[in-house]
Amino acid sequence: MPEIKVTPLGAGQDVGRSCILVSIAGKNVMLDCGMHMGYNDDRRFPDFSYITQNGRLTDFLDCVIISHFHLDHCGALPYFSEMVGYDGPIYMTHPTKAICPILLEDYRKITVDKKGETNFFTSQMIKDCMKKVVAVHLHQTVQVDDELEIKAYYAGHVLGAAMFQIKVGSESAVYTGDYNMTPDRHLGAAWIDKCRPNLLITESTYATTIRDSKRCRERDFLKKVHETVERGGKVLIPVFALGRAQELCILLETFWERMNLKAPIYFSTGLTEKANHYYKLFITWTNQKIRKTFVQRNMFEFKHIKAFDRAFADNPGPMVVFATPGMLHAGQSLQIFRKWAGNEKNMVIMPGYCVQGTVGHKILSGQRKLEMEGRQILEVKMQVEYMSFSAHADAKGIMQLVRQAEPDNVLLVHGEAKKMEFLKQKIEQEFHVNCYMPANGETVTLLTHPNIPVGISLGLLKREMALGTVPGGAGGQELGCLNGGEGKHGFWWVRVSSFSPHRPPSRCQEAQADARHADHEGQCEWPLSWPGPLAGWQGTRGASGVGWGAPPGHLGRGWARPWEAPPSPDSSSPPPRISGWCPQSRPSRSWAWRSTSSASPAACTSTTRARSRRRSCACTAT
Amino acid sequence: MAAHLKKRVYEEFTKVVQQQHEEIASKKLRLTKPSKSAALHIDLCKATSPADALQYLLQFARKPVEAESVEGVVRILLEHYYKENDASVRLKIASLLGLLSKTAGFSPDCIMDDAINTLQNEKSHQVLAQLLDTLLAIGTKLPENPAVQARLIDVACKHLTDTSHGVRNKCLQLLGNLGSLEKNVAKDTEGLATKDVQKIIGDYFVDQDPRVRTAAIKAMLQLHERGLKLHQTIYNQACRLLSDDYEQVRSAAVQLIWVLSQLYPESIVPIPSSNEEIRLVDDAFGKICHMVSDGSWVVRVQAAKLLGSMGQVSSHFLEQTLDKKLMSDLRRKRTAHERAKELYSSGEFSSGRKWGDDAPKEEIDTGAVNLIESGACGAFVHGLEDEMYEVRIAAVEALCMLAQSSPSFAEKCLDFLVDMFNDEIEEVRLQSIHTMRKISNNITLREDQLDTVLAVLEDSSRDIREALHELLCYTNVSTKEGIHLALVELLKNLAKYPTDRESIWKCLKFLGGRHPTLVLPLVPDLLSTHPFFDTAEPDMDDPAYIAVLVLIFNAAETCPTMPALFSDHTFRHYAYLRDSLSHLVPALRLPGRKLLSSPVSPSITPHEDPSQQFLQQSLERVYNLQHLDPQGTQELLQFTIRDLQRLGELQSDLAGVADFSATYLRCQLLLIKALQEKLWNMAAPLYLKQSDMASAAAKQILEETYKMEFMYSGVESRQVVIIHHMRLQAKALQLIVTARTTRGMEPLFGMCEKFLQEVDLFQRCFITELPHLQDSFVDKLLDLMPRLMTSKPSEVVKILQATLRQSTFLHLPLPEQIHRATATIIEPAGESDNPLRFTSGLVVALDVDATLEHVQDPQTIVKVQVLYPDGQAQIIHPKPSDFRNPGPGRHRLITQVYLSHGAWTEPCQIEVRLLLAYDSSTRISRAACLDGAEALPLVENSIEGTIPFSKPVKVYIMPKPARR
Repeated sequence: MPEIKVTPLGAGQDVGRSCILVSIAGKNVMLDCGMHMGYNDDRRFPDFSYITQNGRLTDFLDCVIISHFHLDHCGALPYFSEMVGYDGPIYMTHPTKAICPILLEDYRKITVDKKGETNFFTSQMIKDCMKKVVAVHLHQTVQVDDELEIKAYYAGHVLGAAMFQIKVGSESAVYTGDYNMTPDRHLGAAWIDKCRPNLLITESTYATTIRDSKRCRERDFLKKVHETVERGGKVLIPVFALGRAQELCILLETFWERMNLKAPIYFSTGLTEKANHYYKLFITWTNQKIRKTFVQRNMFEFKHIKAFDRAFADNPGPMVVFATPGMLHAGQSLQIFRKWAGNEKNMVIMPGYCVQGTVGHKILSGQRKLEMEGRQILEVKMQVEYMSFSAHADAKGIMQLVRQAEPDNVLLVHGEAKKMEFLKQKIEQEFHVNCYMPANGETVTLLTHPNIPVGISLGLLKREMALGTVPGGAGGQELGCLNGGEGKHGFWWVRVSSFSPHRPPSRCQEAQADARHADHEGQCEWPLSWPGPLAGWQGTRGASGVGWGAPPGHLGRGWARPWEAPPSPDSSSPPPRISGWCPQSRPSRSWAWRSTSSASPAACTSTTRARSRRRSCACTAT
Repeated sequence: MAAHLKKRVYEEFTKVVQQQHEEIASKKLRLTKPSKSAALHIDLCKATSPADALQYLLQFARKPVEAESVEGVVRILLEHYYKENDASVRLKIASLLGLLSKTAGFSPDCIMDDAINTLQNEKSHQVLAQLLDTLLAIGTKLPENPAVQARLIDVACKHLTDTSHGVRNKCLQLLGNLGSLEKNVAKDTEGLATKDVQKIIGDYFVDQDPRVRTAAIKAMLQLHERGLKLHQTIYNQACRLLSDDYEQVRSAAVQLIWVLSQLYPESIVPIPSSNEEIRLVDDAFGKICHMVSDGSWVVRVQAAKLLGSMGQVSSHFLEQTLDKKLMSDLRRKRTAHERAKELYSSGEFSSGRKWGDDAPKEEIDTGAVNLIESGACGAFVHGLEDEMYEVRIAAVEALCMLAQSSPSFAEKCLDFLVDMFNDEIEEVRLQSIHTMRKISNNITLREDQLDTVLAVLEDSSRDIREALHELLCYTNVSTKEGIHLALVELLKNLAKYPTDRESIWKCLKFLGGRHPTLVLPLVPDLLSTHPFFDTAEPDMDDPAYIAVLVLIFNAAETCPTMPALFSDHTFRHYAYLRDSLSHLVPALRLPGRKLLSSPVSPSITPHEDPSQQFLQQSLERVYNLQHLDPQGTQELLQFTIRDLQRLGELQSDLAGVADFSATYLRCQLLLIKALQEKLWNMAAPLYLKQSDMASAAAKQILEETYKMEFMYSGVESRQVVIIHHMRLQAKALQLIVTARTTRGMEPLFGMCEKFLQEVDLFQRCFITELPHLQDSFVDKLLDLMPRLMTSKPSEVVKILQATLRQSTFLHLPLPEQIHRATATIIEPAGESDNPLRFTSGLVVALDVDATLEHVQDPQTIVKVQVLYPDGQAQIIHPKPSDFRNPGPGRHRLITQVYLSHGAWTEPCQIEVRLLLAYDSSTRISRAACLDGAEALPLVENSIEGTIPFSKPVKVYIMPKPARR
């Protein structure tokens, strides 16, 4: 039975440590390899021993895909590739490849240098890891091997974030990573075509939220900054170095430009400067406005925003400072905060969520007197504002993406279980598709109904076409397998035609299938259930479905692996019945056989599988 | 780079080949000039290979073919068509047939049979498609022939089953363009069962090729455009197409649904999943709204645009488009807009301090939340947040149109429009400000909204600021705090951008005039008067103070209690401003003072305006004079002209009429004066000097007539005739003067002939108007025309002189609305004493900012002239994008003029002025077209010239010699 199996190692009913294993038509792919912010022990990385306990990961995984550079999506990568050991390809987009090592290095520094941990990956490991990375472009179809191909779509969220389509033969899955359906000041909205995957794995951070228009938030933010600056106050904006910081910079920069303001804006140096450099380079990944105007001026070459020096904090007069880190728990932002907190003219704007225990969280919850280290009491007189700028899709956005992609099944990850429940129910209700939300380590198995390529000579096909124009369908005998006796002609390509067998089987079809039993029998044994963690993650490398019409040599390749015993030819498992191929599939999944007009060869070369399904909807409705 | 080079190599290569062929061809053509078809025949026979033949055909296609020889050419082409084996040549021939059948004056029905015949034997799909295209060309040329149409439709139906998408496309196009409009006619001619074109086209909505599906929808739209009423049954089919995989199909389907919703707005359609029913227009609206979140931005733009024109949709649906139920963690949350409104109504100002401020409130029933609404929910919210600014602009436009028709919707969409003021793209911001202005009579701004609006006043773009001033002119403000806020922000703007002075004053004028009661309580504060103490007198030249006064005085116009609050110096300042800025400061009824306003109070103007009467009377007086002595006539004319001019100055709404009439009278006066000259009585030829006066008069009359013709908008053909008549008289005068001053007859022959031609032209152009010109110069001249044609120049001159003297004065009928084109250069102001220094030989950019009024099509006719002290004059054509259109009849030119000159020893002034370029041929030909006369050889008669229509402004410049 051809099937897709999904096991989240992280991000299943949880946020953080994204890592999802997908097995599709015998190919095993790992999606993202992140760390968890909330843990400092072993739990911070996914449990790779689930995949294999003894044996090299490279043998079990065909490829690893990283959706974007946030640490909860790529933080475990050097550990995974260098310390656990993986030598296969790692795919990510160009900006991610450029920025990811900066963040990893930063992460390493904090863990090793500041917290003093040992047994952590080294700088060299990060470098070695990055050597295994293959960079991809948007909408570029990358052939991982002969059968497996991946394709990246724009996802918004952060620079270089991408959604990936994984495709083997006619089976496909889409992994969204994190994405944003509303454009912001520096990035566009996520977009995907009607690729109709078998499975859509989507994040669901804001599964139960519908957000207000972004404009109000932006306006509020600008107004507050503007007012404070006009009053002569100083504005502190604690940010994380990448992502939102750039958006806010663009926002302030354009506002300064528009309103002809003169007060200086500073950006704390270090990490950000490097990152800004990449933002300048990857201008094609930004939104329409920046892309269109970069010929005159690259928006990331800030005119009003300058690098910050520690001494500037004492300068008189108004200023705006972006400083790291974002939660005011240490570093430059905290230093500046201590300097400015005493003056009620000043303001601090927290642009994101703050973890409990940090200074940021304290002041946001209204605390006016803070105890700093050394028993000092700091009185906060400055204004404290909160502005939420988040770049995840809200419930509506998620639904919109599902509608755009038209998947057969949806799987939710990267969110809280309680919220997922709501969204799951909604998706099932509105789109009438199955929706899953596995917890970490839990496996979801989906049955698929892949197309089976059938070779047919062009001459025969053309002849059949010509006959097919005669109503009554008498001419369709030899090609019964194609039209199934329902109509005059089936769905086909000129070179490799394909048909889907999950229709009421016709006589011809059965005959065809019987004829192929000889080929098929030997290969029909494959593990049907996902082995548990203790058993090790045995890659279910099977020819499930792909290989039916493919040449035997092609099929055999998959089995020529040392860790899997070749199936015994005298396997006792019964050959799959044809009827077994067509379980209760939804009507729209079956191919439609048109009965009115004839198709021309030229027109048909351009048809795709998706097209024909569109047709089917039309036909079933009429 | 390599690819680029390669491309160039190919390009050049092909060019060389073509040139060779052209040479040969031109020789051939000269040899065989008599018949084009013969030449083609020879060429085609000579062609040895298909490529050769193709070349010949390509060359042939470049030259036009006369209507007479088309048929011959077609025969030859067809002959070759049958012989030809190569599909590409056949394709070219087929396309040539189509081109030829479009030739004016050629009736293509004779080639239709052949074209249809060729269709039957053709194997190549491309050629088939091309042939069908030819048939389409033939069919569109013969719209009145139902038999032909029926036949073509038959052919199209037959080929609809073709396997090639191209052929099917063309067939559908044919059906769309020729499908019968009235069924009865079709029945008669066909005799067979009527072909239901719509049914046939509708079948192809589910074709497997997206291009064919698109063509089918387009054909359907074409049918609609031609006036065929589409069936309502298509609606369901069209709705299904909305979820097509291909954007062009979806885009066309959206249009089709829109068309259907306009056709059957009131019919009832069921909602699929329930047993409810709704109006079709509402259903269609919901569906199009759904398309606003389509994956393709082309479709999104299309959908957003069409939403605007669906006025019939019920308000319940309309208001949903702005509704987006917010929730956070499954609890209902209020939008920022709602919160702002609540804060406002509760009388508090937004604290914005607490981050729990936007905390979600009540729990939401999970079952009730509908995430993908089938209805119109939030369509505009999405549209306005779209990534592509094209979609956002379209959404703003649609909002504007819908809000104009529905006041309640206008009120609701206000928040969203205000939000758009902060868009990142200036075009969008500008568009939303304009939109707001258009709907401003339906809305009143809340204080918090006003606050956001006013924040944009600091924008560095001048366009945005001025659009905003314009908006504030028409805005209703609800509270006195609002007015105060607006004033404060405007003054801030003034301080930041002093160039906005005029626009801000104007804005405050309207703001004051609209809200007198709100200004009243602010007055003591604004004038900083104190109940007991005298305060210092503010500086009268301070633009900010003037701005405040403008606001107050305009409010005081309708609020009689206000002047009581003024202090002494305010009255003085009033008197000063009333004089210096009379367009901004209205006349006030001040206690204990003489009424300063002009006798015309606004209450009487609408009825019988005395100045209008005065104008009529004085003109009538002039036209009635027939038998006054010359001296008296001249004097009367002079007085009338003076009166009219003064009237124009006093009454701005009559300025156009008064000026126009005065100019006409001045021409008449000049003519009379010239004819009164003593010199005519002398028999001897005159010296040039003696006739100076007359020739100058002739020249001036000519100039004035051009001004009359081109500088006034609203001039109708009746006036044009009279203007041209006056010009003809001036030309006659010129001819007479020349005849009297030159010796020898040679030059006169030419002049006479030219003059007679012009008379002829006049007659042809204005043949319908001639009856109005009884007893006039032309009337008499035309009577004498046969004699003039045959007589010698000297005689012609004599006759002309006599007629000119005897002819009567034509009455100039006044058009309803006539406005004189005016221009005011705001910048450069011409006041600066600091010369603009630049290095000689290099250029310096001078900013020119001018307002133009009553100029039609300024993009093509307005020029900037720069006059250098050495007499050198340059005319600069501003770019079309430099013109903005802030209001009807008004334009604004903001451009840069580049100056350059050699080195000067000291700074000097140059003059900058605006010119109105005209081309006399345009109007005559327009008139000719109106009269139905055939196109005349006007080209040689056209006179192009320019009329200065603004006061020149002097700019001090100093080109420095370049340093070595």
